[in-house]
Parts: sequence; C-alpha cells; structure tokens
Amino acid sequence: MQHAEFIQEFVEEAEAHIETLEEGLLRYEKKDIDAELIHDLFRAVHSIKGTAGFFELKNIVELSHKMESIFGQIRDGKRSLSKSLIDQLLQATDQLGEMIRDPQSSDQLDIHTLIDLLDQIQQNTEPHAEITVSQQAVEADEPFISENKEQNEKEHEIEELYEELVPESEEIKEDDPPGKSLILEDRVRVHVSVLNDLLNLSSEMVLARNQLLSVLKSHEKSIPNLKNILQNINNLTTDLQEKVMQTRMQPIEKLFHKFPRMIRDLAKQVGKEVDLELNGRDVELDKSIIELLNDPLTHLLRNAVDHGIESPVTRENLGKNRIGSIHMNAYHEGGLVHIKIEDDGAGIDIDQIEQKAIENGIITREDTRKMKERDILQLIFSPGFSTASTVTDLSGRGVGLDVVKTNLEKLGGSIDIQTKWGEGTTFHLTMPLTVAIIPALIVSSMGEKFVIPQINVQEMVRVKPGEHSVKLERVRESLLLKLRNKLYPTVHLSEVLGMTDQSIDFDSGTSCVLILKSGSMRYGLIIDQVYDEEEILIKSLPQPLNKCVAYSGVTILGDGRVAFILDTDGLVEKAEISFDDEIVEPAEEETGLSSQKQELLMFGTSAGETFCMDLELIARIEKVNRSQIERIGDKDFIQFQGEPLRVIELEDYLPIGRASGAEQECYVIVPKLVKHPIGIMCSRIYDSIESSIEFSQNNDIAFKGIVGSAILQNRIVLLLNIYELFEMADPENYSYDDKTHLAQHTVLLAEDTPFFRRLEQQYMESAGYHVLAATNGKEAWEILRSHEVDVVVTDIHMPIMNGIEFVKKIRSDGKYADLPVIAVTSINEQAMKEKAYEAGVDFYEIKLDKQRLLEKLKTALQEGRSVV
Amino acid sequence: MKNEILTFNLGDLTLGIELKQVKEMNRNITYTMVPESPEHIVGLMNMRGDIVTLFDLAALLDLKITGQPEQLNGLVLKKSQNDQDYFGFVIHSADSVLEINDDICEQPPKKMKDLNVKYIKKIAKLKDQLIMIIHYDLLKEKMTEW
Repeated sequence: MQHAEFIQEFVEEAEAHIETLEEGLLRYEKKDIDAELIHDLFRAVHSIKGTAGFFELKNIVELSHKMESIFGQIRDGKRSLSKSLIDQLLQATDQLGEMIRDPQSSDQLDIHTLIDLLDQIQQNTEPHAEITVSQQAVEADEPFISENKEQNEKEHEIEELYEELVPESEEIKEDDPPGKSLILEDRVRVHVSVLNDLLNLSSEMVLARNQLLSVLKSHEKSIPNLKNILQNINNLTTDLQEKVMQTRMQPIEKLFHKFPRMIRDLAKQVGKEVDLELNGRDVELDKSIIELLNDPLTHLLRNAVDHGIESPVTRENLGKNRIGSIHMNAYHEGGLVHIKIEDDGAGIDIDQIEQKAIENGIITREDTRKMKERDILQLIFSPGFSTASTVTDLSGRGVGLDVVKTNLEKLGGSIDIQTKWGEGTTFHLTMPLTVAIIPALIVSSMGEKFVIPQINVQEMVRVKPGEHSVKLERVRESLLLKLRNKLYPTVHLSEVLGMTDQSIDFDSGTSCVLILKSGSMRYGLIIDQVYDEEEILIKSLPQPLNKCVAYSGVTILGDGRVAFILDTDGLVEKAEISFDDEIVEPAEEETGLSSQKQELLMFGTSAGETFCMDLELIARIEKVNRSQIERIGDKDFIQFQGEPLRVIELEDYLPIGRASGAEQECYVIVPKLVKHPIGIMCSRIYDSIESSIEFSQNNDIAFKGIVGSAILQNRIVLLLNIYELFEMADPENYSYDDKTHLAQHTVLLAEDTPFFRRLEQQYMESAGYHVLAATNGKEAWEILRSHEVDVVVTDIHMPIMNGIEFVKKIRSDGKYADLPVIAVTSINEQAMKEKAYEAGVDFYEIKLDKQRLLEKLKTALQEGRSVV
Repeated sequence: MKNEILTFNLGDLTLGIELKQVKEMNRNITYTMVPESPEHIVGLMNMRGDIVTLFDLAALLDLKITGQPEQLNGLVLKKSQNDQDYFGFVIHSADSVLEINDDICEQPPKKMKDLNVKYIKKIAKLKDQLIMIIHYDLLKEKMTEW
C-alpha cells in the first residue's frame, strides 16, 4: 500500500470521526438536536471518505459514501431520522469503525449486505409522517449549508493534496462545544513514548539539580552570582517538571464518551430503559490512570444496568419513573479525583449478600453475627462472589467487582459502596490525579533502602524491650506484635527477603515496626529505620524480576539509586504469613473488647480507698493546698478560674474511712457536663489507665454514691457515681424526684461500655424507669422486637452493630415510626450529630449529664417524635 | 564479512560482543542488589532515569573467575522494540573496538573447560590472543526466562 507512513495518522483521525458519528446519532435518539449536528455527521463521514479514497481503501470509501448520501438526504430534509434508521446507521458506524481500525485488511471484509441495506434505505426516500427535527434545523439554518458546502469543497481539495493541517483544524472544531467561539490553537500529535521519556528525563533533571545544589552550596559566597544562577535553575527545573506532568493529563471525557452508546445498547439488550447522565467530563487525570479506569467503570455501569435498574414494568409498579437513571459524576476534592456512579435502581439486598456469601463459602454463619452491615456489603468485592441469581451474558459471572477493587487499589485508589434497598446504589471511587507519583516512606533494612507506598501503611510503632503495652512475642514459629491488645502477625523484612540467615534478636534493642495493610488484613513488618517521606515516581519492575512477588515496582531515589517498592500483598505471600483463625480469632475478640475500653482516672482518699471515674466526665484536675480552701457557712470553696467552686470531701458523704492528719497537698477533680459543678477532693492521683471494667458481683461493697466495684491493677476500685454523690452533697440542685407519672415506661438502653451502661441504667432507674439493657445495636434490636419499649437510648460507637445502623434499622420498620430515640455519646462533633439526625435520632446528648438525660427522656416520652 | 567487535575483560578472559548490540559503557557503576533473585542477576542501575537490569555474565557462562577488580563497569545493551527495559552486563574493563573479519573466526569447540560454549557465537583468533564473541540473542533468552 502506498503512503503507509501516513496510514496511522488516518486511523487516529478517522477514529475521532467515528466518535463524532456515534455521539451525534445518540443525540438524535435523545432528541438533543441542534442545527449544527447533521452537518457534523455529514462532515465526519465525508472526511473519512475523502482520506480513505486517497489510500484506495475501497470498502471504507463505499460504506462512508452510502452513509454520506443518507446524511445528505436528512440534511436536505428529504428524510427523517427514525429510531430504526438510527439503529442501522449505528450498525454501519460500527462496521466502519472496525474497518478503520484495521485498514490493511478492510478490503477483505464482505460488507455487501450492509451496503445493500443502506442502498434500500437511500432509495426509499419518502419522508416519514412524523415531524423531523432535522428538517426544522436545516430550514432554520439555510445559509449555513452553502457555507458548509464551500468548506467541504475546500477540504476536499486540500485532502487531495494531503495536507496534514486540515484534520487538525477539524479536530479543534469537535473539541469545542457548539456555540463557543472558535479559537484556533496549534496542536501537534506526539507519541506517548516521547511523553514518557520526557517524564523520566525531567525527574532525572530534578535529581541532577539536587546534586548540583548540594555540591555548590558551599561555594555560593566565593563565586559571584552563583546563588542567583542556582536559584534560577532550581525554579526552572520545578516548572519544567510540572509542565511535563501536565502533558500527560487528559480529560476523563476520553473514557466517558463511549458510555452513552454502551448503556444504550445494553439497556436495549435487557429490555430496560436507562438514562445516563455524565458530569465532570473535563476533569483531568493522568493518561495511565484513565486507561486503567476503563475496565472498572465499564464493569460498574454494566452492573448498574443489569442488576441495579429494574425493568420498566417493575419500576412503574413501584411508582418510580419507568426510565431508570444512572448518574456518573467526576470531580476533584482534596487533591484526589472522585467518581460517583449512582443508580436509582433496586439497591442491594444485604440479607441476600449474607446468604450468598455463606453459600459460596466466603464466610460462615458464625462470622455474620460479628459483622456489621457495612462489612457484609463489602463482601461483594470478594473473589468468587455473584449476587445475580441467574448468570447473564452481561454480568453476574461473579468475577469483576473484586477485580475492580484490586485495580483501583493498584492505582492507589479505593472504592466505597452505599446502598438503600429499593432506592438505589452508589459506588464512590477515589484515586490520585497521577499514578506515576505517589507519597511513600523510604525505609532501610540491612543497609538497603526500600520504598513503601504510604497508602499501604497504617501506622509505625517503636517497640522497646520491657514495655508491656507494645511488645513482640514469639509464638511457636511465628512472631506476633501485641499492640493495644491486638495481635498482628509480624515478619522481619530482611528475613522475608532472605538478606540474612540469622534469626533476628529483637529483645535487645528498640525495633521499628510498620503496620501494613493487605486487603482487610494488617500485619507488622520489622525494619531497621525509616529514613524519609518522599514523593516517588513509580517504574515498573524489570521483566527479568517479574517473579519477585515482594516488589510491585522500582523507583529512583533522591540520591540517584534504584530502590524497590515493596508490595504489601506480595510480602504476605512471600513470608507465608497466615492470618489463620488461631491468630486472628483472639485479635478479633480483643477488638470487640477494646471498643468497650474506657480511660479511667484512679485516685485515692486519705484512708487509702481507691476510686475511679471516667476521664470523659472530668474537665480538670487542680492541685491545691488545704490553706486555699475557704469555708463559707457549712460549705467549702476554692477559687477556680476566677470563680468560687464548691469542693467536697468524699469522706463526708460516703461510708469510707478517714485518716486523722490530712495532708496539706490535695487534688480537686472538676467534673464536666454538669450544671452545678462541684469539685471532688482527693489525696492522691494514681494514674489514668485504659481498661475495660468487669464489675464484681460482691454485694458487700455497695452503697449510694458508687456505681459498683471492680478489680483494676490488683486493687479493689470503687467507681464513683457523681450524680448520687452530688445529690447527697447538694440536694437542692441535684434532686430529681419525678418518678410518679413516668413509672410505667420502659427504656431500651444500648451501650457497650459496662461502666456507662450501669451508670445510665442507674440514673434512669433512679428516676423510676424500667430499663432493658443491651450491649450493642444487634442485641438491642432483638430486644426491641420482643418487648414493649417506649423510648430508646443508644450509644453511637458500639461493636457488631453501631448506633447509627441500629437507628436506621428502627426507622426502616414502620412499626417503630413513632418510637423516640435518644443518642448518648461522647462524640461531640457536628458531622456525627448530623449523621445521627439523618439516621433518625431525635435527641443527641453528650455523655453524660444525668439531669439532661432525664429531661430529654421526659420530653421524648411526653411529646413523642412530633417535637422534632 | 567484517564486524565491529567491542572487546572487554572478565577475569583473565577476553570476551567480545558485536558493537551494534551495545548502547553504552558506564564506568564505576553503583547498583541496587536484588534480594532473592537468581545468581545471574546482579542488580538494578539507574541510567539517566531508565532502569537497567545488570547481569553477571560470568554466572551466565558458567565461568569461574577469581579476584574482583577495584571498580565495576557496566556494559548497557541496546533494547529491541519489544523490550520493556534495558539490560546490561557487569564487566571488569572494556578493551577496544576491533574490526574482525569472519575469516579469522572459528566455531567454538564442542566443549570447553569452565565455560558454557552454548553462548559463544565464535572465537576470533588474533595474533596474540583469542576473543570469545558472545551470542547475545541466545543469552538474552536465558536472561529473561526466570
């Protein structure tokens, strides 16, 4: 074939025309038509025909000629574009596209059926009965046609001369939305490999600059003007690198443009009606990310059409619009690119997922009891999972969503899913703007430097010998890191990579451990040192090293040396870390416990009893000298923040011992969240500890003013009930005697922390309520279904089912529409508050003011939900 | 037929490679070792932003050499269109470029002590020395097969 060197140019150019054709035809179908549209279509096939003629590609010429004639008829108002004609033209466009992508063999294809069909259409020119918009458009724009014809002729001439600039100017027109003034820009086609080389070179330039700067720094004074020159080189290099990065950015439109057609065909195939709305087409991303996003987005959209959107009949029966809608939106936020895919379809049935996951052996029924709804939803990303009851041609083969997730994670992105049964599903994808450059930690082991992407690092801990809260333990063959009562399987990087034969002695010195993420698993990696944090440029692993699973790629560090990027999943494989039941079980159980942990302040009285109270209830601890205490009437006061603060001694109100000679130094604990603060005096502050409380069953230690007793750090500790204490000390302000008319009401209390559960229960029982206590949302939900409950008091953070999920569950059941819910939590954040209200909470209370709680209870019961 | 051959030293052996297969020489190279890789992979080197995988030619040729030179040099090879990365050999020193006529070359013997002759394309007999010209295309297969 002649002019073979230009053929690639032709293919690229013609592919752009095919896109124009496809988009234009789809716009016709949606009746989104303007005067320019038919001309665009005509021009597109005409240009293809012209250039193909130059290359003597007979089939392409013939087909585009037929299409051109039909578009000509439409343009001239001799024919309308019916739905069936659009279909046929789309089909022809596909055929044309196929031939264009492989021009060399295009003439071997047999396209005569298609040509015959188009011939028939062309001869059958009787105008349709329905009014055609194209006619109107053409009439409205009469003068434009002549102009256009002129232009076409001109173009034809130029094409014959094979002037390369014409397709360029054409392309610019396509890029500009109609109506915008046409600004001529100069563009040059550049091969991607050139851009890649530029990126490499500019990164090297940065390294060379760094070296130059450090070498010449000491000469800045001795060589005149050197400082300015270096400054200049510095700035230029940075600018250069930025510009080079920019050349790789492409609008996401590159991906988006093909989706309308895909959705249309897909919807047709499954007999559904779907409207796809795309937003944020101009959001720019690195070329390589755009390429890698193609499959995940295609998959998610297919899923939405196939599984999400219901059939038109079902939708009508449900009172929804018979046309389902899918909304895809791309936007920048927080230095990341976000893509949301929302459909208004059936949503995902959590119970069905649970069922399927059990059937497919992904989880056991045992597991589900510990899982939150959110966790169950995440199961659809597990390999080998499919929710479609029948396997269809489109999707539902059970491969895919896991691939979507891994692909995204490879990019340094993530995927999140939200669903509401009956209302639709939203997938939320986040990813960095550029895949090539990521923040990473530079670490060393045995003198070699390695790189770990920051996205894979959960935290870094130093383990000192002799410390109890964080320590490394050898259990049989494996090493475990104990951190905050969780156990992490841990490996030594140099051992995993076989850089040393000796087993590492971690008892002698401080070890540096990184907690790394591998899917949902966490494990520890012992390294020698963390050097630095750097933005690194990822390069792929050289092919001869493809079998090294421990590395995901390489990079060049600031010192010019090559370093390996560690693959956190690969290390698991390489080190044969097992997250088997034996190790994970205790860790998980401890997780459950740790959420019930609370921080407690332990303090002592003069005679040596030990009390404790939750740190959350304490505003301040003041050290005072007894001489500062002033007595007014029968009450003691100190000056606190410029105000008198009443202080009390526990010995005066509680049946505890009293030492004779009180020490001069003492502490005043100032509680928070109470209306009439009273300082509590104590002789000693021991410590604040993090612990869970198990109340002892011994009734010998029980009196008004304490919640109960427990053994903490080998000591019997009394847990102070400050409200009962204050009631005794200050009956005027703290008495709450309103038991009579609310006595019959039942409160359902969901609270995981035993201390607060007991405290809240006591508060409410002291006011005469009947309290049913549960340790988490799931338990509470079961109680709710089997008991008469008048009001719910729930914590937000709880294991298994948290407060928000619990409230959502309550609100989703019509039976409990009027059941008031009070959230009592220590999270004092507006965002959480909003989330809680959104879920259906009526009152949001911060832990823990007895009077406010009881008042809210009263309001909720008297006035019901109507007040909110 | 004349061929331009770059000669270089590995221990006391003089080897040669067709100059058209060579991209460049790098003196006194630094590289990053690859833990857990086969013996014939030495490490990775940064060549102006391109990663070069360095191979131990002696290991590939089953050659036993004694003594390490003071500095190592890298011989970077050209890559073909299908190659993703650059490859290179660690050599002791480069010698010179010679024009070698085919008529002074011989096929290697079937067997040689301490040398895998499979990767020797031919042996050039100069007046005072023998040059083993390596068969890079065959070697490359072995280099990428792991």
